[in-house]
Amino acid sequence: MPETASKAITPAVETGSSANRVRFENVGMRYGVGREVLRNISFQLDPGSFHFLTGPSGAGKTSLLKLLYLAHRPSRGVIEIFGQDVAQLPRKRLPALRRRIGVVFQDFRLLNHLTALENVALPLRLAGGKSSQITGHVRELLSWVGLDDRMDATPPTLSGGEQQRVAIARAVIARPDILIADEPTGNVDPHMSRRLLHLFAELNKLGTTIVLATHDLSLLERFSANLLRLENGELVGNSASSDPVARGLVGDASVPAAPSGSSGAPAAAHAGPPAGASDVQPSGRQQAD
Amino acid sequence: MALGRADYNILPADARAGGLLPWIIAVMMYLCALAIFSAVSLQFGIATWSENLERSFTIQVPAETAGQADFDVLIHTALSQIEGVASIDVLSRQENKDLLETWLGKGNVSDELPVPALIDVTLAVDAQVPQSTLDAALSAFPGARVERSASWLSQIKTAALSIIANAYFVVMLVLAATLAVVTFGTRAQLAAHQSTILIVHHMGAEDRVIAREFQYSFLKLGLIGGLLGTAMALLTIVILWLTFKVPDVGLVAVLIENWFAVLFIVPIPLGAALLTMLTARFTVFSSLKAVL
Repeated sequence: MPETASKAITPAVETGSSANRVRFENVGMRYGVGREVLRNISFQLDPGSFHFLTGPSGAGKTSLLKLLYLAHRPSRGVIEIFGQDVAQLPRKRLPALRRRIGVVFQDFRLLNHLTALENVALPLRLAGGKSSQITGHVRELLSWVGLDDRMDATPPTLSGGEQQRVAIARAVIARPDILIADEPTGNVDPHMSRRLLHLFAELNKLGTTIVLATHDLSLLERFSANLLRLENGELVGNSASSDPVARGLVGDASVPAAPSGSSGAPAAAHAGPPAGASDVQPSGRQQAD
Repeated sequence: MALGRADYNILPADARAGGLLPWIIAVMMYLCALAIFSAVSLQFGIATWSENLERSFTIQVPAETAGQADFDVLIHTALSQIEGVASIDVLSRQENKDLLETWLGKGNVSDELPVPALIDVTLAVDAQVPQSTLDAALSAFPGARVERSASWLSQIKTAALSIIANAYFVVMLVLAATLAVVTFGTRAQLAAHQSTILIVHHMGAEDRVIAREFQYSFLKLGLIGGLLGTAMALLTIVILWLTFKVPDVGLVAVLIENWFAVLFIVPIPLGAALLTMLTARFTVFSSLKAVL
């Protein structure tokens, strides 16, 4: 990952550290005075683990993600993120936690008046990064997601797939401790989908906890990760996915290495996968509770 | 785009365009400037005026007494012996006639009309002359009566002070209206760009970062409005001064004689800018509190 990005936030390489653990305990959530849309949710995401969140429409996936990216407080229960009980945490302390969480929204939520480059640079800017340091890393990442020639384009002029890649680049540029993505591969072709999952896997290897909400069954079959399944506002499954082989990622020579930043050269310029690319799989597999 | 444009605004350009806001602020500051100028110049004018009048009084001597030979010399001698008297001005027959013509009409004051003599006496600064001393000095002039300005001056001062108080009240009202306008303007901008604000908020932007996006654009709008309003007020004062720069035009004369009161309106643009900026900042903070 870009060097600036890794400096902008606390590195998440402390796999196993309870400080970066996410814990939900008997969590309920409601909007206003309505009925609970999430009930009795309990699970734990270990640092550096990789999870798919799945379930039918209306099951509560988006609400659960809102709790994870601190857009909503639970109506009951305990949510512990980075060792903090977010239900009790004062509002003024939430931004610092949010900066350690990357989010890819289903509707992208890019700022239409900013270019792709500026959109991706935004998290680093909010983290206090200097423009001179930000520039190179943002360009490198955008180049890696195939947007070399679209960096100066504004979102309304980008295709859905391009917008999605910008949104993903924005979410990962600051190398978050937790990456939350809502249908992150919904608008891209299979090849780009594999590339993006490869990027997520690389991040995961570096210690980032990943939560991907998806309806894509093929993704679940191809990619080995823990599975959180929601139905009607309740967690009905919390286990490893059935197929442990990360098909489509493992040994795929067409997938270049994610930008490392440490070499100083854009990773996308590599002729092939770097050493160790063949074992690109999410880490931190979690057993069923 | 130069990615070096790291100081780009998070909010789109239209969030920083004030629309009519600078003009509304300009009108507010124009009213504010005129009210402050009126209040300050009236305050200075009344202070100077009352200081002069409080040291003076008028002696009125009936026509039959004033008709005696060498009256002017006698009265002058009698009054000049009083300690603290700085000047004695016995009005001539013609000056008395001029005064009466104001009431009776020009040419209606005949020489046969018995006109009392009027003597203006001014005391030295801080001098006090008791009524008994005056009575003793005027004992040789039967029917002589002393009219002190202080008796009616207090009423004029009260009236002037109420005008000044009203002017400051207008200033307060205008400032309150400006606060309300800026608050509504900020809220409108917040509502118009809610989605953008929520995105950066969820990315971890602190409230002060978002407030900064607004406060500096509102600072600029306030400064522009303040400069426009103050410039218009100065222009109005200059026009007033050019139009009424003749003596004896009442209140306007008091205003233009104390032209230096304009110094009190010079800081208005800066005040408007700060007021607008702080109002916008406070509004953003209070609005964001509603968001987790």
